[in-house]
Amino acid sequence: MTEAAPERESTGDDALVEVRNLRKYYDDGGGLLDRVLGREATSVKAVDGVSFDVREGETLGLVGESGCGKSTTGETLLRLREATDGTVAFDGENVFDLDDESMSSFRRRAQIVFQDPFSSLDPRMTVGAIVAEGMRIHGLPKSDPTVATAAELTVEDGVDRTVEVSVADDLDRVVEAEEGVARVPVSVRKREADEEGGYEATVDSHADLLDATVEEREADLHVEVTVTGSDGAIRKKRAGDLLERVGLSADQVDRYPHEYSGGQRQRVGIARALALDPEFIVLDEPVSALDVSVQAQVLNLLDDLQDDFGLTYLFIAHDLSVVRHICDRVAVMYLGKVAELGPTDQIFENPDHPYTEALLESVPRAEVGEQGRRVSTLAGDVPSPRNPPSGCRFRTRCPKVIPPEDVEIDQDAFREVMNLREEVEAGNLDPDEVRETEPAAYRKEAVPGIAGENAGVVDEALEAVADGDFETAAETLRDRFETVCETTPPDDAPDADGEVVACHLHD
Amino acid sequence: MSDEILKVRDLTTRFFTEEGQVNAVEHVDFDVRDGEVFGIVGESGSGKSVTALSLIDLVETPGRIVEGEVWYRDADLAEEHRDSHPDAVDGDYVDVRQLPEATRRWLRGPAFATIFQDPMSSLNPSITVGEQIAEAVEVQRRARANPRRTRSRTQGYGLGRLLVDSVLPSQGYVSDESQERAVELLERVGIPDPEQRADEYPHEFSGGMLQRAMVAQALAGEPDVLIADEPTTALDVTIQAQILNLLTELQEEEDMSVVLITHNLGVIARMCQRVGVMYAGEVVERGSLEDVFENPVHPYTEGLLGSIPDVEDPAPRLSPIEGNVPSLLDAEMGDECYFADRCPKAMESCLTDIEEHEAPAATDDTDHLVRCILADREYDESEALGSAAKQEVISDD
Repeated sequence: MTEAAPERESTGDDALVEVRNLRKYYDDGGGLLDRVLGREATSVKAVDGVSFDVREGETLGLVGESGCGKSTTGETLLRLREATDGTVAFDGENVFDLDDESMSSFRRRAQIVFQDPFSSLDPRMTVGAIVAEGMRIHGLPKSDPTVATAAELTVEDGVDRTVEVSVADDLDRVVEAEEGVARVPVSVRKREADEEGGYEATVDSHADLLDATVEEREADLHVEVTVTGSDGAIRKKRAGDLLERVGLSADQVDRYPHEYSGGQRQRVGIARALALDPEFIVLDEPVSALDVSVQAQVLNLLDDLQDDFGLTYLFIAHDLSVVRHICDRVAVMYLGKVAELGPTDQIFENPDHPYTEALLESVPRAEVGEQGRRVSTLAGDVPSPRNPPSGCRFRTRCPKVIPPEDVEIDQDAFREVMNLREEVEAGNLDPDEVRETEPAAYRKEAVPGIAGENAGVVDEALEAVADGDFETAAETLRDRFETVCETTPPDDAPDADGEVVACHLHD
Repeated sequence: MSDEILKVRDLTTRFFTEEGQVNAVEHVDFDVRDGEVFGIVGESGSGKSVTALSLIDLVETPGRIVEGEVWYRDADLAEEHRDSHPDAVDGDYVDVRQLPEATRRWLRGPAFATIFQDPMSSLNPSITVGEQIAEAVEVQRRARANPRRTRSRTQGYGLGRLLVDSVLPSQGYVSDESQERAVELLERVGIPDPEQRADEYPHEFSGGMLQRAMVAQALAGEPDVLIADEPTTALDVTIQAQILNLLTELQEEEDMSVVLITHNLGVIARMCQRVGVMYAGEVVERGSLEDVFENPVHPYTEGLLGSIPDVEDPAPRLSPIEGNVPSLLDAEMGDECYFADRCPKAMESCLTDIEEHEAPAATDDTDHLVRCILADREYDESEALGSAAKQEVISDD
């Protein structure tokens, strides 16, 4: 594919959420004992300077291996955790310094669905109460003074007088307003076979929450529609409607979470997130705990809801095929930073960052051609976020580290030299072993691919190791092999198109 | 000599719980050939893991293997038991389930070894990784030296042993030889600095490294069949790729057969030559990877394949299987095909005719077996029932 890959969906370019330089450190080792012993507090840099936009109406995917800071990013930008540094602007306002009232409004407009449907629902609450809880906390249903109320009148045969209707101002608590008007259908008819004669009026929808009374005036009839349902009843009705919307049955509002399977619970979690009419939902691994057949149902549901309610999603996941399916743009995270960000098709078809390439390469595809495919895997594990590598964080595993310009060395050999350097710098080599095997022989074993001047430098360093002088050894190697990947962090600020490729190869 | 190392016939395992009888595994048949990777795929609750546990006889109460045979090819063992257990021997094969308990236990290691999904909970957190592997090596070494009296450290650990151990703590169970072998095994599975890592505890290992250590432990007995139960489910994709590469490499070099159990169809596609698809305790479709992935007959297999988004070619909309995984409580299971209520192609006879789906039927290719009415007939759309019609047929019954 070329770079001109078509956009999946046209998304507005307006950013709903702007994350800039977000950091979240967890302090560790700062306890009393540590202070007495004079230990320095080290912090886990879970999220370490992340910037991206979530545009209105789009789904932005956030992928990466476990421990790379995806979920922390999601929770911090919703201010469920206090950020260490950085800003998050939601609809233009900085989330971290909102006053109480604006904060409450932000809480309504931004919601989250958690990964584990078993621990995210209170087992002692009915699902109706779970879905309605947010409405209760925010004092909903509330009447909106800007919404007008009106009735659609049906007059049946036998009524020969003019009918007037007045509708309670707070009708919009029960009836969804359309274009600023909450409208309810009302029928007026003559009572049958009734001695007193007279008329009756009924509300055709929401009959359990609304009531209509008829008053006979001189020449005409006056019908009055009032809201009779209590707030609790209105919320319960709405909870039922929401459950129906997410594919459960409305008459299940009185059931408890344990009566549901994982997929159904996740639907309850989604209904809860929808209850306050949010604009933005953080979906934190919403389908990871589900079986594939159920996962597909939930993904389809999320798709439909986005269309119906015009939602913006931040979709956190580690499953790349799910991300490809649902996201418009994707941010790939590695060790607390964004490695690459771009439109989904571009990321999946033309990845620019070696880490993205490696991730995609690793995914097993469910097709016959996959059989026996040998994958060139990344070596080792993600380094500790307590003490992340200098420069580019991926450099310790990267298969494409850039050698210094004046050193001629092939890629594999350079990778081996880098691995050796790390061992030397960490003091992991055994001086006795190096001495016994002879530095040159040890070098042939550890770094077989080099010769000439490079080999000489490595031998010299290994001789220093044999003498137990790791510092000199590390310095000798550093002088010769220091790469731009370890000295300079790559640029990970989004460009004009909001895209990121945090790699020196891309410059 | 036939080329099947393992022939599983009619394996049925049930759990007798307070809520009632749970039919976890029902009449499961499959073969594992020499040097192949046989995959078992299914959703949670489909009986995959219980099948694995049943193979090595590790089902715990209230579960019990109620019937079935597990034929394992071992000429020596067959010869040895030909007279004492004539029913348990058939040519070069022995039925593991009919052998005496001690022999069965002896087989765990040289015949079967297992790796489980969660390496963190499979290893003892208070013993070093090296020692745990060395212990497995030691058990195997002693078992080989004296096949009849195999004892692991915990078994038969009575008051006497406790006293001896507390007075003479140097009387270790594990010999130095086994320790060395453990380090070799750690190196074999690609753990850097194996000598140093052997002295570390499980919490000092990352998830991928722990799974490697589990593989090393499984290799201790040089097994013929390695049973890997969701070996990569808890791991990230890059680490998963490492472990899958390791398994492939070991399987080729050690000439093992592998039974790979997973819910991930991609892992199955990468690793397996033949596949069994499980649903509600039954193997509903079984055949070569091509048969199952390219020409699936059972609507469940089709549904499963339609449910996963493709990373290379995303479809605009997924076609999931409606409904949820059924209950396996005996009382709640009808006589009809268990998939019928979710099946988009279910016909009247699926709900009424028990015989039709009882036995797996071969399609034109004899090695491709399907437990479905559609195995030997064409699907006709006009016969399919809607969900309302299904309810009607069921309530009529």
